Amino acid sequence: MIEKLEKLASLRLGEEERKKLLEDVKEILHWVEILKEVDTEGVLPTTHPFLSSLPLREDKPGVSLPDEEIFKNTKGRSGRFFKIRRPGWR
Amino acid sequence: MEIVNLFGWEIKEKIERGEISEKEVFDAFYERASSSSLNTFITLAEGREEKKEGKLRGIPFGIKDNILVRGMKNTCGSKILHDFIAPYDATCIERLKKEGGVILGKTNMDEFAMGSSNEYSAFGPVKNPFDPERVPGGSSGGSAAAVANLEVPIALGSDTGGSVRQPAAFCGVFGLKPTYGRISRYGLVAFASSLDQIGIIARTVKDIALTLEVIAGYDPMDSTSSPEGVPPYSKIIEEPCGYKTLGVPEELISGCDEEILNAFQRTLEILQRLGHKIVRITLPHAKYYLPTYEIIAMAEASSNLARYDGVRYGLRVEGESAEEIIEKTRMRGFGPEVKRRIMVGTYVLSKGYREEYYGKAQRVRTIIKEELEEALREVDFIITPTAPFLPFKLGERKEDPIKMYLSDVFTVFANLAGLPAISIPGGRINGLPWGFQVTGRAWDEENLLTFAYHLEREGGWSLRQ
Repeated sequence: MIEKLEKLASLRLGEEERKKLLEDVKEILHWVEILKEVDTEGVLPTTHPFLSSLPLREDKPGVSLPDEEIFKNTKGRSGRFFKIRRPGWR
Repeated sequence: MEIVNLFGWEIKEKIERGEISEKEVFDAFYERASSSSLNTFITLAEGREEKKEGKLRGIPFGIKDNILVRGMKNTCGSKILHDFIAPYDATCIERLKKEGGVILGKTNMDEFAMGSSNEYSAFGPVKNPFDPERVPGGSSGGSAAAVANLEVPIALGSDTGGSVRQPAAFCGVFGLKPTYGRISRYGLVAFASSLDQIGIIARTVKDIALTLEVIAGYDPMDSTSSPEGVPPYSKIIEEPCGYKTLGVPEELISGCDEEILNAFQRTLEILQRLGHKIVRITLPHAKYYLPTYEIIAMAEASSNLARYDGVRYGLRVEGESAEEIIEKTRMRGFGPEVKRRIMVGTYVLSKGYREEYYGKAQRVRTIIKEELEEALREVDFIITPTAPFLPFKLGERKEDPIKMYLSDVFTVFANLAGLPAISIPGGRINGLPWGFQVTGRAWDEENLLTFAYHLEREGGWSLRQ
């Protein structure tokens, strides 16, 4: 299970870490099992405390941050692009 | 009286009357914060901005390190953002500054606001001002401890499941989580978007009211912020409060530590003596609040934290391919609690389990929300202790996630239902602070703050030092 989650979450774990985390994940999942007791037949899910749909705003262009501000925090840049190594598709 | 002992609103009035200067105020708090041994701040401001008139003129603020302040580091208490400089101001910061508020620094916190003790910060734990061997609560532990230790008169935090109220209780100060949508979340780093709300910590309700009226209100940059009008809270709270009916949910508080329960009972007696009515209320689904919250919070967190990939900002650990860079960056950048929550969140959203866990929790959330709204039709407020136990020792709960999550057993329901709630300092038990929580109806901060302000003045809960 944990290897599959690591892949889905793009988060690699060390050996020791993996063991401890697997135990914790199992314990947490067991602890939340209690929700199965609740009858939710016909109950709609709540995705937001008050809104049933997200309000849209007018489709008007606004002022964005200048490029220099955006790129200030990056470790790899090439012109107007973020730079990273090519995908390996393992 | 020394400057650091003044409340925020008093500082503003004294500056306006010319009794003290902005510089004297800033220097006094800066001196106190920079020499603190509690590890409350991650970054202190390099200087004071030019003085400005306004409702918050000259008042120094501590800002939790997940709320962006332009040009200052914003770490979220994480290694993955250790060198991230905020490129813009969060809306609440923009509004604070516009009214003359001054940013003193960025406060320490549990990594990405995930924790109840501040021990999950990559920058070391904050210590409780009443006993440095104990935790200040979390995740806004730096904000609460800084206010309690007079390092700043007012601080902002974020509250996803109790992260403003629980540390406020542990540090003996006031902490408000407003209604979901009351304060724009633009510029607040997302943890669980349907639960997150910016909150305010101070030593008097008046400072909370004053800050709220400045930072609340609709913001086109956050489509979930509400167009509800923002009343002048700091004036309204001075008006008579009237007698209120408060509901005590017995199922919920039954598991509380005895010393807290005894102090809570004494509080209820004081409230009755003041003329308020205490009634028992039933919340049949109380035992499901915490598990429902955890599933939703972890699912949303796993999705929100997918953005930390080392590509655009933050830590980057090099590798042979894009995937390797991303996986290694996240492995080294995130701490154990964040990884734990991402993994559980990923599981409950994964194919085959989504409906069983996440969908189920969202449906139970509907039931919980209706149950609380129903209760609040019968009573004006719901009252509980803020946390089920006193501030615990550093290390006591760190390795046991579920034991840590129990800190939030009384606070998560306000987030699930989007309700406003305030933690009021209840005094001391064996020298340690404890707090009680009053929860109101959605959008009714007006009555909630008025009630809290009157208790502060008449109930013997004033923190005037």
